Amino acid sequence: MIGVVGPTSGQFAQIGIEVRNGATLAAEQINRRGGFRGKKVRIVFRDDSDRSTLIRTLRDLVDREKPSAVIGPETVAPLRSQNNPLARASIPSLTIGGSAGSISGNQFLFRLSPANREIASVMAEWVTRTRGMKKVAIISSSDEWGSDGAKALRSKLTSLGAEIVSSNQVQPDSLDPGPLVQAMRDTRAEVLALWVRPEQAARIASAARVIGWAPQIVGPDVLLESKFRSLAGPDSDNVAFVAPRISEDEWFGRDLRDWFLEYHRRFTILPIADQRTLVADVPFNAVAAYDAVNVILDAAARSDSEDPSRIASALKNTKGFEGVIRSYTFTKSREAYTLKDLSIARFFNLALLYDVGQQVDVERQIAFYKVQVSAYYVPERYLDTDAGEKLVERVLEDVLTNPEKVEFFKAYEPPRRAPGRI
Amino acid sequence: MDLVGQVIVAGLGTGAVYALIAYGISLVWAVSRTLNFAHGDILMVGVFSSLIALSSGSSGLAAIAIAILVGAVLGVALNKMVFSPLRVSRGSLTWVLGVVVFAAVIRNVATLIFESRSYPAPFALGGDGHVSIPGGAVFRVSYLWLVAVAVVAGLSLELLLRKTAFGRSVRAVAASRTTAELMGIDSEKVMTIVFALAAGTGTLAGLLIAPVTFVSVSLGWLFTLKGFVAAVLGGMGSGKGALLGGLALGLLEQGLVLAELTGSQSVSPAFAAGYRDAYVFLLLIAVLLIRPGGLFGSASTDRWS
Repeated sequence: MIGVVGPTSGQFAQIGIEVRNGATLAAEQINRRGGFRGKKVRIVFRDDSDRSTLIRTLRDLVDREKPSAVIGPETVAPLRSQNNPLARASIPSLTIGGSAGSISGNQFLFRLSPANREIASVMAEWVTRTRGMKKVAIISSSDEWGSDGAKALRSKLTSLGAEIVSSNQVQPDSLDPGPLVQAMRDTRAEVLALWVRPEQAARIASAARVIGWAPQIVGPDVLLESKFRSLAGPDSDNVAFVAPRISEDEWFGRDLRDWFLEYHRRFTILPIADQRTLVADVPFNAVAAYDAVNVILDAAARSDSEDPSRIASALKNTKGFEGVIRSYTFTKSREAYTLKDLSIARFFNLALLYDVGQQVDVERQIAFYKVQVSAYYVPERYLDTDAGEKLVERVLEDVLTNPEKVEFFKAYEPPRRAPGRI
Repeated sequence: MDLVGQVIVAGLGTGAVYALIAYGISLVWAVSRTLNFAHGDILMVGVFSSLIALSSGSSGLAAIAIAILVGAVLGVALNKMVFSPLRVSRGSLTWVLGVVVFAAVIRNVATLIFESRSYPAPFALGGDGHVSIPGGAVFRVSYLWLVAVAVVAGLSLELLLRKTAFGRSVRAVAASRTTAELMGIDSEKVMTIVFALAAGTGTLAGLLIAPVTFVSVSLGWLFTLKGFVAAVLGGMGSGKGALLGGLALGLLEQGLVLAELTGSQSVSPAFAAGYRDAYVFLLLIAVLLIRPGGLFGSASTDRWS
């Protein structure tokens, strides 16, 4: 039994819902193939939307369900010490999204998403070395995550010779960051580095455009959440952000394509909301949760046990496990991401382009762009399986018979060509 | 100087929104001696209904009208379903539970329909451009509209309450419901219209700021909180107090941003953004210690001022 803990309401709901869906899909697929060692894999979900009751939620999960491992929660602060319900029961937990601070204090805690320190390093390297920019203004959210990220970013930028012309905090629920953005503009910063949640990043990008300021905006991996593009719309153009480095083979490979098909069949992948686009709302957290289930089962198989502490020991030795989207190896400090696993990408026409950081084949990058802006569920040019063709038929039929969608497609204008690199 | 100008405009803009929200809360308090904890949630539903209207092909003006209408209807429903039946005696507090449940139901149903995400609001008044003023400050043109609409709405409401027969009825009910009824005023009808007015005004405020803040279910509680702070600061039961309290709150919030931006944070971490709300509430407590009735209200008299 694997426990999954995540929020299904509030500002982090998208993460929690995707994590739950990804883990569920993995379990269903494994069970269709006969389960794990002949036994069904069971996923038990717990909602932790109310963080004040997180420890109680974890205690309840441990006492009632006795999971072999837990995926989540998306905040690591309550789990840092050994004195939490999961660590006391020697149950390993794999966090997705809990990027703030070190996890070294809890030997049962594993991080399946990038840590703030690594994200900050990649941002700083790209700003100073790739773009050659030196004057940086930073806006971070006033919570622990934002403070931790901004601190790491300031430290790295300074060590690389950049000048921090301003570094300010904004409250997550601050209604209008306009004055703050104007103050940043007045510093004549070349780069506006953000360590804020997607909604606030959208407000800031919009405020910069309104006052006619066009710095290079760069942010952390959370900008990948579709709500940033959904709210910022065209203001997201050329915003750079840290993204998992995904090889061409992985992006265009069969595994990821089949995974998208399967996920779409089970949960439906929709276009990015509230924008006239066909770019899909790719569930990155679901992919991570899907891989997390398989990483846990791989460790269980290697330890030849369902005992949590033995699985935890085996997890530490995970090396080169091939997931859907990447290969997983845990470092000595139980981190799945190192600097070499991260890259910088940018948005254009709401699509994701890897042409500003990672060196990729130009033709393939153009193909990748076209695929994103012309199909709202999966890369249609790669849909050569029977299942894929059936899905296309189903979606097209829906599109052609649903009056609302017919209107949408009539009004749909193909987006601009992808421009050259920034 | 340009930053100061920007801060003043942003403060007046957000303050104007707080002022309209506070006006509704204060007005309801004056006539019913009840606190409408569902005020923000009602305006949130109103704003969402404008998004639905827009996506169904309505014009911007029609969407605004629909939103205000939906807000007003919900305000009336709140009065009919909660306040009127539960406020059985002056000392009874069952209405508190009723309004909290009403707000929770609205919020949960809204979450089921609209989920926990934010939506862009496309109907910025005056467009999406910006205005530059001498000194270099640049701000959204919608802020000018926001202040203008708030001033017109505030003045209209004040005129309505001070210069018309209906206004006299409202003030009579606010002074003494029993006496007003003895004088032949239908207090229930007055209350119904007041709840509709308050909710409609609140929805208008939500619509004005939505393009800047985006629209989400959680916005309701945030606006309720800000509205209450502004209303208490200005003085519960005072229209003028609510309007000035709202503006003062908006300017104070942005003034704290200025304090942070001008380097005060480097002097002391106490000026960091995370403490901004703490300063606002400290000021509120200080004002109430000196003037328990708020800046423009009265601690002892039961009347609309």
